[in-house]
This record gives sequence, structure tokens and C-alpha cells, in this order.
Amino acid sequence: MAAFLHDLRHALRALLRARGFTFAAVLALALGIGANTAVFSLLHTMVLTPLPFRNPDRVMAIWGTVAANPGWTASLSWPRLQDWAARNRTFEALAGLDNQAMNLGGLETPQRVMVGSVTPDFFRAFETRPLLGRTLLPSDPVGSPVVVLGEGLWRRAFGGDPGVVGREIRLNGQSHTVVGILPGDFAINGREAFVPHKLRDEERANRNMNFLIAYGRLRPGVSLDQARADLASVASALEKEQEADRGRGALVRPYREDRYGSQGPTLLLLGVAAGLVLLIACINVANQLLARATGRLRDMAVRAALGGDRLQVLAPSLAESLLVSLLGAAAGLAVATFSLDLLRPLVPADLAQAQALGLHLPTLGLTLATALVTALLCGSAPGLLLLRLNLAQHLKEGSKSTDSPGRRRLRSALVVAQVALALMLVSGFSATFFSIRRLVQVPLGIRPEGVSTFSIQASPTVYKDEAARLRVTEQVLEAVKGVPGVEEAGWIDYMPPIQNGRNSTFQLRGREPRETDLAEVRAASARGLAVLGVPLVRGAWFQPSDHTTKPTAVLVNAGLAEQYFPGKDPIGQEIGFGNDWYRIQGVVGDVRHSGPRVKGLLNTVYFPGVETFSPNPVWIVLKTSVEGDGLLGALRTAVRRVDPDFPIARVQSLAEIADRGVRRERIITLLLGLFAGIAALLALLGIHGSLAYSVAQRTQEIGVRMALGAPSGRVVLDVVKEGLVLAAAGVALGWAGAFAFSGVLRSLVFEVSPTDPGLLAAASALLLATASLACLFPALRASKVDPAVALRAD
Amino acid sequence: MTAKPIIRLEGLRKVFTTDEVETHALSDIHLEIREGEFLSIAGPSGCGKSTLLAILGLLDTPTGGVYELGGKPVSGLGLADRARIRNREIGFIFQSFNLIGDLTVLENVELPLVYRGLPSGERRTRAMLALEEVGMVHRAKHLPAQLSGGQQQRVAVARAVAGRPTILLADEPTGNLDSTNGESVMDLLKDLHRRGSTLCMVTHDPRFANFADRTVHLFDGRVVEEQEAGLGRVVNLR
Repeated sequence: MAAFLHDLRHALRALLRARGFTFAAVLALALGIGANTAVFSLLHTMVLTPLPFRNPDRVMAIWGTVAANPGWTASLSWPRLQDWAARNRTFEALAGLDNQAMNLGGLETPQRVMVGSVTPDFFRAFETRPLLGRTLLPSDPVGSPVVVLGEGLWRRAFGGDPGVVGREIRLNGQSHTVVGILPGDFAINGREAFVPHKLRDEERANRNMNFLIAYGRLRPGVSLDQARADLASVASALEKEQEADRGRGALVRPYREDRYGSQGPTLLLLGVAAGLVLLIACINVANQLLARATGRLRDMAVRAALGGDRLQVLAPSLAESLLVSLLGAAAGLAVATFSLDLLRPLVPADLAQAQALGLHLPTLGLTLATALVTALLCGSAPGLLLLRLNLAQHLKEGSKSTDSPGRRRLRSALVVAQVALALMLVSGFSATFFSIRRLVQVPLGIRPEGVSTFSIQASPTVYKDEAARLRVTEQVLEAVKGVPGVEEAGWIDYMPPIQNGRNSTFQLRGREPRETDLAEVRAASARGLAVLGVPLVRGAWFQPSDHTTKPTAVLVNAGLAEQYFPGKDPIGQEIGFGNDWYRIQGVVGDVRHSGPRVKGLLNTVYFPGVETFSPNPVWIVLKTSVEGDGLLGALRTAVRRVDPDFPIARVQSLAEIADRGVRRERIITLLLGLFAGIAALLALLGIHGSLAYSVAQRTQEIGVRMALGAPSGRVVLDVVKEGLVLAAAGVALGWAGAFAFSGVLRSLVFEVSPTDPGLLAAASALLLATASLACLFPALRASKVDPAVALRAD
Repeated sequence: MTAKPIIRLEGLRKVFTTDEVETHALSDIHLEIREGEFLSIAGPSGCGKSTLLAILGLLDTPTGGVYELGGKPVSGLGLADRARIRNREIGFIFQSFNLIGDLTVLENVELPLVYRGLPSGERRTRAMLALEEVGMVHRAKHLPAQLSGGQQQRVAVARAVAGRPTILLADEPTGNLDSTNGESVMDLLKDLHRRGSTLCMVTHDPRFANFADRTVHLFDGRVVEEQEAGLGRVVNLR
């Protein structure tokens, strides 16, 4: 140990003397380790953070399945959930949650709160210890006016006052007693407060009214397979008993997988990309250490001659590598800290509340471990020299360490590997870059320019029926139309391209009903669709008079019209939902409601409101001359004149909302671009360093060539050729690597193949072009060798 | 009474093979080096003297024959054992000094003692004593590059003797020095010998070969002459 400390001291001295090498090596490792640290922080937050309830492995998400639509998952209706809860034998608790947004009133500024409206057993499924008071209990009557607040909301709205427990607060205009405060990390589905669900009559009776996201806690010792088989048999029995349950099955998934499983490909991609960057950095530093060690072969031979064993002879290189890696790790932590802001939007909201993305202890531990492994990998490279170290020869040769063909081959192989890995990342970045270009070019069916929007919530407890909710919404619409800068206004219930509507089967007059005749059902005001830029293809828009409690007319999208009325005029045709029939009065353009990536249901039916008017928030859409928050104050005043409990958090532009649909892709592209840039830079530095070293080693040879009459241009060409041969070999190897890497990318890119030959050729050309530049500097230096000096130096 | 042999070679051979071409560097070498003896190995360039010294110093292995160090055969030893023997039994002095440029004079002298695992206090004391023996204590904190060639070779001698080895092996110790410094280093080696050290020195300079008790002449990888100080030549011993 004392001897190694001795070596560390000397290594530090040597690094301080070789500042250029130290800077380059520390920078390379800082970028590599920093990228990995940042990605591991993300992984830690999203995968490794303990879930905030007891025995999280036993908590399952439960979905309904529909035989007619394989791959679909559906929420559950109240009656179905009750049946499944009563008949299963594998869950100790089965509960449901309805995502709601409520207005928290009685404050200086009303707030929109994400509330979980839950069934009685919810907190038996998600057992957690409250910070204050209690959670909701099965003994709390259904719909009783009590609430348990999340810590974040408690601190934000009530300043963390413990006295709030037991007090009355107003949610959607109704008084609720606060019974407890939940810990900050308890944010199931991003909810920040939980209330007992108020069951409406239709919900109690209708087996097809699916609105509950179901969760269950497995009994101790029950496996996932047993639970799946149990619920499958329950669903199968119900199929025979209930007409509405025909073709309905159950899907059971562990909570974590259900909630965050879709992030898997992104994490895998970023993890692989960051790993590649670190690998390139390691190879780069190993190559530099190898070059340094080659210059110190005599020293290694002397140490061996004096009786040092292999480890002792290698110790100076290992010590140097360890110091460089530790310095790289320290700088890497700084890189990671800056990178976290880029990654933050990838963390789902509920996890962001549970575990702030940051450099936590496990991350720091991993960084240290990475540094140690890196030190070992890089420091071992000179160990390869030891395998063939000819002591007698190197001691005899004295201070001049020459490069052997074997060492040259090894260094060249390391350069080739760097270029190959860089090509994988550059081609990956190209794929995501072109993917996002295609995504943003996909016509969404709306025109976001000059459109702003905000949402309001007409509380069903204050506005008890659909007519009242529609009325107050229309009043808000009238109020905002009077705000200076607002040119036109309307409302819609679900906002494209970020919200799906409800799906419902429909029928057409004179046609046999089919289970697969599904349409997305939406509601919009007279000018709502027009403000969004949805074109009217034929027929007529809704008129204000259409907004009655019993609408008779609907609009359908062009896709539906073409599919069901080919060669016929759809205007005037009748479409039915349940026992009610509606006249098609207009055909509007197709809209990609779920964003550019998903075409979703082509069939869409727009109602003029009322019958479909749910207690969910509606979006007020405005054609304005001022976008974003510029009109916030005036709009707030206008809306509060209608109802002072209507909160408007912010006014967003439709373009901003539309961009949200590609936000994840943008971040991935940006990160891959950064990784690819770093990788390419390191690979080019690798080529440059290798050639510079080669030129330095061959100064005498170059001198002889020039003495024999070689022109400078020929010398430049020879050196550039040497570098380009390495780059070309790396590119060739990189194509194979890119094919391997494409598996990680494929599910994340849109209408682009990561192995597209054109894409790979472009990435290769880019790397080769920049490699030529990297070759040029050592080549020019070689051409400036003075033959007289070079030959005398020998 | 004759001193016991420290080194005994019996029919030693060394063959280098490159591209299927065999080069016989050493053939049928028989040699004994006795405790307290100062032996020089002389001969023209390429005659195999440095190869012989590398084998004696366990830096290289013979192709055949017997090599006994301290009465024990060493030919079949593994790398770790050879390193341990080099560290404890052998002190090297090279033509080009071979000091490590990154280490100070004192650290260079301490190096074999570091590998031996001695505590730092003892290391320091023994290294300083060795430097005192060669008159280089005043340069202990300098780097090799700050010393003249003669001074560097003195430091190399200090490093060789610091571990109190059984035998000192010197490969052309004056080869890179001017005549004044060369003589000064030879005086130092003679002095070490006088104080009991066993020395084996390779040289092609007859002036310095005469410092030895006995000189072995090599030619084409064979011992062709052996000459003891004060006695006549014995030609073609075998």
C-alpha cells in the first residue's frame, strides 16, 4: 500500500508535468463518466427508487381487455370492479381510481388540483404511512366529503401548516375535511390529493361505463401468474353471466412495469449511448496511456530489472490511470449536474415528485465505481506491453524507446474501434434527427398558428347537471370574446394532439351493427373546431342553436365519411349511439388526436356538447393577436367575473401544446446529438493523436525519405492516407455496429430505418471528411521535418 | 582456501530464432564466479557478452545448459521468482545508467528497496548510505536530468549496492562516459570490490578490463581466452 501511495505521488507529479495529456484525458473521461452518471441518475429515479408504499412488488395494475381489439387495454366500470373484487381469491384488496382535476377554492388565487377519486379499498392496496392524520379508510362512506392531501399541495397551498388537518377546504365548490397529509413521494398517477369517489347512478349501473383505473394488492405468497389465472377465470365466469362482459378479459401487470415500462426503450437507448461514449473515452485514454507507456518502456524494463514484479512494474501506469479517472469522475459529476436539466422532462410527473432527479448517493457510488473500472481498463493497456517486454533489449537500447509493429497494430486497432463506435452513435443521431424532421412534418389536421388555449373546470357539485355546465362554459366563452386581442373563441372537450377522446361503438341506418365500428367521440362548440384550424370539408358547422340538451346533429371526420359512405353523400345520413340517432350535418378534416406518431382512430364524431359533456375540464380555444400568457391577466379577470373559483394557471399557445407530442423525441435527439458529437470528437482526437505520435516516432524515416527527394506533398499524402485507412476501417466496422445498435433505436424512430444505407453512408462520409481534417495537422507537421536535423538527431 | 562459487555455468547455450533463422549467441559456456571476485567479460561487439550478462542477471533465459546461482539452479524459475532473485541477489549497473527520469536521485536509489517492501524509514537510511558511498548525497533531491553523465552513473552504482546484493553486474559501465568520468567510476567499482563486493563487468575497453581479477574473452559466443591478473593468458580453454 505504501508503495502504491509512493506511485500515486509520482503519478501526480508526472501528470502535472504532462498538462496537455492530463487535460485531454480528464476531459475525455469527464464527458464519458458524466454522460453515464446523468443517465444513471435518470435510471435511478425511474427504476430503482423505492415506491412509496408497503411491499410495492405486490401492488398490481389491473386492466380490462377487449377480445375484438387485441392489444387494447381499458379501464374498468364500477360494477365490473366490484365483481372482480368480490370473486377473486388472489388479491387482498382491489381498488379503483378516477383521475380528476378539481378547483381548490377559498384561496387568494384558486388552484387546479389533480385529484384521485378513489374507491374504499384504495389505501389498502397502496398502504402508506401518512405524514399527519390518516389516509382514507374503507369505513369512510362512498363520496364522503373528506380529503387527504399530498405533501406538495399541502406546502404549496397551505404553507405546510399542520393545523390544516381537521379543517374544511373547498374542492370544486364543496367543503371537504382534510383528514391527513401524505408523504411527498406518494403521488400515484401524478395525483396530489385523494377523495372518496362520489358514485353517480349511471356509474353504479352501467357495466360499460369504464372510468376506473384498477389496482390490487396480492395476498402474501401469491405469484403474478396465479393472480393472472385467477382474474382470467373470474372474467371468464362473468362472460357467461353478463352480456356486457362478453369478450372482456383481465390484464394484470406489476405497478412499476405498468406505470413506467414505456420508458424502457428510452432508458435503454440512452444507457447504451452513454456506455458507448464512455467506452470511446476509455479507449481514447488507454491509447494515450499506451503511447506514454511506449515512451517509458525503458523505465518499465529498469523497474523489472530491479526486481519489481508485474504489478509493481505496472503500478505507475495504474496510478496515473487512477488519478486521471478520479479527476475525470470529479469533472464528470459537474458534467452530469449540467446534463440533468436536459433529462428532467423525461421523468414522469409522479416520479418527479417522488424522487427529484439529482446526484444521489447510489449515483455517486456508481460514478466512483465507474472511475475505478475505467482506471483499471485504461491502466491495463500498458500491461499488454509487459507481456512481450524484452528486458535485455530495452535496457541495452538505453533511453530511446522505439515503436514495434505489434504496438503500432494495437494502437491502430484502438483508433479503429473508436471510429467504429463513433459511427454507431453518429448514425443513431442521424436516424433520430430525420425521424423528428418527419414527425414535425406530419399534418396534424389543425393549424396552431395564432391559437391560444386554457382550460376551465365546471365543477359537477356546483354545476350539477350537464345543462348547467354547458351554460357556464358558454358564459365563459362570451366573457373571453370581449377581451381585447381575442378575435374568435370556442371550446372543445379533449385537446388534440395530446388527448384522446372516449371511444364508443356506433351504428348506421340500414347497416348491421358491428363491434369493430368504433369512433372517437368528442364535443366542440360552434366555432371550436374552426378556431383550431380543422377544415370543413362539406356540409355546415354547428350553429349556437345546436347546443341544446338534446342535440340532433353531429359532425364526422373525412376518414369516417370515406369509409362508410363511399360514393355517397354523408350529409343527412344518420349515425346512432345506443338508442339515439343523429343527423350528419357536416364533414370535417381528419385530426391526429394522439399526436403525429399515432394515427389513432380514424373515425371521429363531434357533438355540439351536452350529451357528451363530462365533468372533465374543457379547453377554451382562442384566435388571438397575442399568444401565450400575454392575455393572462385580462382573461383571468373575465373568467372570474363568471365564477371566482375558476382557476387559470396559464395560457398556452397551441403550437406549444402540439410540440409536447414530440418533446420526448426532441430530447432524445438532442442527447444523442451530444453523445454523437462527443464520440466523433474523441475518435477524431484519437486519429490525430495516433498520427501525431506516429509522425514523431518516424521523424528519422521521414527525414530519410525527404533526403532521398520525396516532395512535401507526397509526405502529407502518405500521412493523411495512413489516417484515412484507419478511419475507413473504423467506418466499415461501424456499419456492423450500427446494425447491432439499430435494435435499440427501432422502436423510438418514426418512419426512418436506423440501418438505412443512405443514412449510414451520410454518417460515414461526415466522419471520413472530419477525419481528413484530423489527419491534416500531423501530416503538415511531417512535411516540415528538416532532413538534416532529423538525420542528425539519430 | 578457495572462495565458494556464487555463479556456475555449465554448457550454457543461447539461440535466437528469427524467421526460421537460428543465431547462436552463446555456445557451450562454462564459467564460475566466486564470492569476492571481480570478473570482467571482454570481447568485440556482437560476441555475446551482453547476452551472457543478461542471462547472468536473469533478464533473459538460456536455451540450454546449467545456470546455478548461490548453488541453486535458476533456469526453470518463474517470472515472480526471477524478479525476487534480481531484487535481492543482483545489482545492475548499465551503460546508459537507466535512471528513471521522473524520480529524484534518492527515489531512484530507493526503488529496489521499495520492491523489497522495506519500510520507508529503513529505505531512506539505506539509500542515503549508498549515496554517501558514491559521494552523491548532496544531489539526493535532484532529478537525473540535472546531473552529468558521471554523476548519473554514480547514482546508478548507489542504486545497485543499496540492496546489498550478492553480485553486481555491470554492462559497459564506462561506455557512455568520457575518460575522466570513466576512470572515476572504475575507481568506485574497484573500491566496492576491495570492500568485499563480487563484481562481473562487461567491457570492450582493455584498460578497464585490467581492473578485474580475471578476464574472460568471448568471440562468436564462445569463451576463447581466460586471463587472471598477474598470470599469463590461457587460450582456447575448451
